[in-house]
Amino acid sequence: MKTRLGTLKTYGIIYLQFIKNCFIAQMEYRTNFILGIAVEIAYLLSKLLYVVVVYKSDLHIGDIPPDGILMFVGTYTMMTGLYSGLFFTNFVRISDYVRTGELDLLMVKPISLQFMVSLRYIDLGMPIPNLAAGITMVSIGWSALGIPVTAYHLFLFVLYLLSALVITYCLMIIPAILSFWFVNTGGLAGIFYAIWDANNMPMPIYPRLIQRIGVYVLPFLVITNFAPLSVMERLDGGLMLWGAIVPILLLVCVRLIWRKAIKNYSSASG
Amino acid sequence: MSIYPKYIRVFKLGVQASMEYRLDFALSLISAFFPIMIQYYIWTAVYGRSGSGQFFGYTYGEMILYTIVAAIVTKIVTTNMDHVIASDIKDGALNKYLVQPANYFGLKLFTMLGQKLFFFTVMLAVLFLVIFYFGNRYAIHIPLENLVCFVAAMALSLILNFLISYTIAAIAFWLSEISYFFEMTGLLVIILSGGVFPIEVFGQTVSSLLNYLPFKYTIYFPSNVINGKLMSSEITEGLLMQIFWIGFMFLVSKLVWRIGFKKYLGLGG
Repeated sequence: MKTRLGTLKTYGIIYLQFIKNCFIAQMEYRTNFILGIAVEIAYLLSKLLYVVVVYKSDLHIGDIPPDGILMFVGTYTMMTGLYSGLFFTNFVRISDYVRTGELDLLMVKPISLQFMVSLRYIDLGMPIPNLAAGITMVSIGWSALGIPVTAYHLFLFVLYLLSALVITYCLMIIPAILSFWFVNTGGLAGIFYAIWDANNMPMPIYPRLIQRIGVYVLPFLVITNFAPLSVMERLDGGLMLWGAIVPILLLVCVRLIWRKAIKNYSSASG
Repeated sequence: MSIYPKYIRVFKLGVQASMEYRLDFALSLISAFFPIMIQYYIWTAVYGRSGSGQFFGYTYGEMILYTIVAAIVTKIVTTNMDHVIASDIKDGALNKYLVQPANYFGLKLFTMLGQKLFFFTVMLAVLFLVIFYFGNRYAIHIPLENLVCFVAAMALSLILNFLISYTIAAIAFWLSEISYFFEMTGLLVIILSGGVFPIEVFGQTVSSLLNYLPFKYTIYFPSNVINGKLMSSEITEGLLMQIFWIGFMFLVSKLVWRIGFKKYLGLGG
């Protein structure tokens, strides 16, 4: 047990080093840093148009009023920010590592390869607009719906956000891992981004079949729906449990696929 | 001696280049399907709940058709030409074109047209199938002349969009770093062109402002030609406006490029 904790601590320290390195590197190219933020703002604007439509047309989904929908859009925006900051750069690079054989060099490092490859780069600029806008939207929706701000509610919300973060990692890394078998997975990644955007709206807007698939088969819809649904007390016991189990299941799956993928690595052209 | 063979040559090269990435194209078609699906359910919820038949001036059928058509039109007219041209400027690849006995603008225009020919044809076929299906479903009758006008509007919009990209790309003469910049401008142009939602959604002020800009003639206008929202006089007027904006943007791009060239350093290459 003690060694386990020790390992965890070591990885924590290494992760902090990653953050520090990335911060230094990004401060060196400040124009890029600012342009990255500007690009995210443009994306954010295109998503905020949905909010405009929701309020202008007074959209109710089932019995969720516009303020409730705002909470979902806010959660989606926050998660997009976290994904772009913590994972996106890494996942894009994985197929390059494989194609160029750069992975050879990373493989010999005395550290988990998956950890190194998938978490090394953290973008500190890109998530700022999304996180700021997302937190604002969630707060506005939260208070407009009159949901009490108790420790229990905050705990639930944060718990499902963390679960969402793990699910995001596991799902979005799949196209990247497939690049061990296929050279170009850009098209597949494009499809995953498009599915990701389905989270922009609360899931009751979709037909039952899509909801089932999105919760149980490819659990994209868990990512942004469970946190707001849980504090609105619209999540029954079974789903609450599922929301807590699914990230663990997915982590195990991804770990297994990763091991298979590594065996398939051909160390091309490096 | 005709000056055209060289442009026809790059046109053919463009066609060949586009056929190289067929799978990528097929996958990008699939990813275009998801935003359409999301918006379809949003609009169905919006119209389903309310008694009134119109939102932002569109009936349910018109809105659904707009959503589908605009997504496909966006795929057709958007090029990554602004990025390509900007990198040419930035890393000095423009040098080699300057010494060639050909016009850079012409070369890029014909490359783009060649690259788009295959997409254009496939997408039009997809579009006509969609329109035929949904037209029947929502009892929207689309007269033949609208279809003809639509093809004309699309061709003009492709050229207009190229001119907009070409003009914006000239900003690279002044920028020291371009990596993300054109992703941002590209997205803003799509939003302003009505590629995400019809421009009526932006409200009265913004959409009347957009009347004085070329953007809405690239996506918003062709999409509304086909969903039956515009009268035939409005269509004629729109087509004329497209031609006007093409002429106008052509002059603007010439001007901007002339000024920009004075800044050109020809680094790298």
